[in-house]
Amino acid sequence: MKLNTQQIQELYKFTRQHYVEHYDVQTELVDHLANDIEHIWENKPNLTFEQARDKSFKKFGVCGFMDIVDERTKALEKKYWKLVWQVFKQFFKLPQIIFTITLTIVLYQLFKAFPQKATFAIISAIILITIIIRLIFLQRQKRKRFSETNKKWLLEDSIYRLGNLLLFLNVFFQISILQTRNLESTTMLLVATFLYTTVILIVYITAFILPSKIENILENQHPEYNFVTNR
Amino acid sequence: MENQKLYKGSLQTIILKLLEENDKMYGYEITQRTKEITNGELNITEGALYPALHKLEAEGTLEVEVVSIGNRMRKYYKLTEQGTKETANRLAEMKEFLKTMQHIVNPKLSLE
Repeated sequence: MKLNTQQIQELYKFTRQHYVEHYDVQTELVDHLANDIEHIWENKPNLTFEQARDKSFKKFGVCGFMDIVDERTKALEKKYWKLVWQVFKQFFKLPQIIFTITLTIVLYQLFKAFPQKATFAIISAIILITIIIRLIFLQRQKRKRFSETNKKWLLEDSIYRLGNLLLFLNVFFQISILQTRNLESTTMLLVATFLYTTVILIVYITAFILPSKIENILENQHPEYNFVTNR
Repeated sequence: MENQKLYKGSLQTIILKLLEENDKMYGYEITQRTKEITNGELNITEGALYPALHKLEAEGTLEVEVVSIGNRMRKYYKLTEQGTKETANRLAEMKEFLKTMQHIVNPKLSLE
């Protein structure tokens, strides 16, 4: 006996009730449960849909779908940073490298020309404010997308959260805004310049480039995406 | 079952080996096929299988393909080029491991 469309929809609802928010994870679990329910019915055809479903769900153990969701989130976080790395590498190839070199020179000149302490603090503050403004904007965009499609995707979450960038940059901001000493040696100043260049590039990639390519990324990384958007 | 613990560390290798033999497979199929091959001795749990699959996918060892099966979607996993090489390495490691275990468990036999 095969499951009908209504029962498949029931299974999607069932995964949502068990804290699986994202459509890509739901889809895989729905197919798994459906296969197992059909298998159970082969041996025990008298069981109702709900009984067979619960029997199948028990096999996932006491944590239910939680472990799977956690691991999937971790795996996609990794994938997200791989995407960032791919774009980052492009900034060291022509023509983007011209932008990278210009940025480095401008920053170095700024650090040399103005009082360092204030320059570090002001540039860091600008970066921080940019991230916050983008995060607010992207959260709005995310809500809008969800209200239109009623589906969430794990990678979409990472993109709109900028892969928890603020958490990673926390130490950088603390040091750069609160630091009190000037960097005497040219070497140290160069190190600081490269660090700032890297941070600015990463912010540009995570807060601007990746969100602008979200459709493309989801199509490539979530094969289910093409099915539901009928592309 | 206590011996399930022994299999746990080899889960990824088992998945890779199965995928090497069967072009593409979906999660449920992997659990069933393993049961079938091992006469029910090895039972891959759902809670262990999917995290392993997702990890291998994130590493670039596996790639996925979604196919519409009637009223639902099915996610198939298959080896990438990198995955095929990885499988060969893992299987070689596994053979070494089995050989070493053989020396420990059955020293007489290994002298031959």
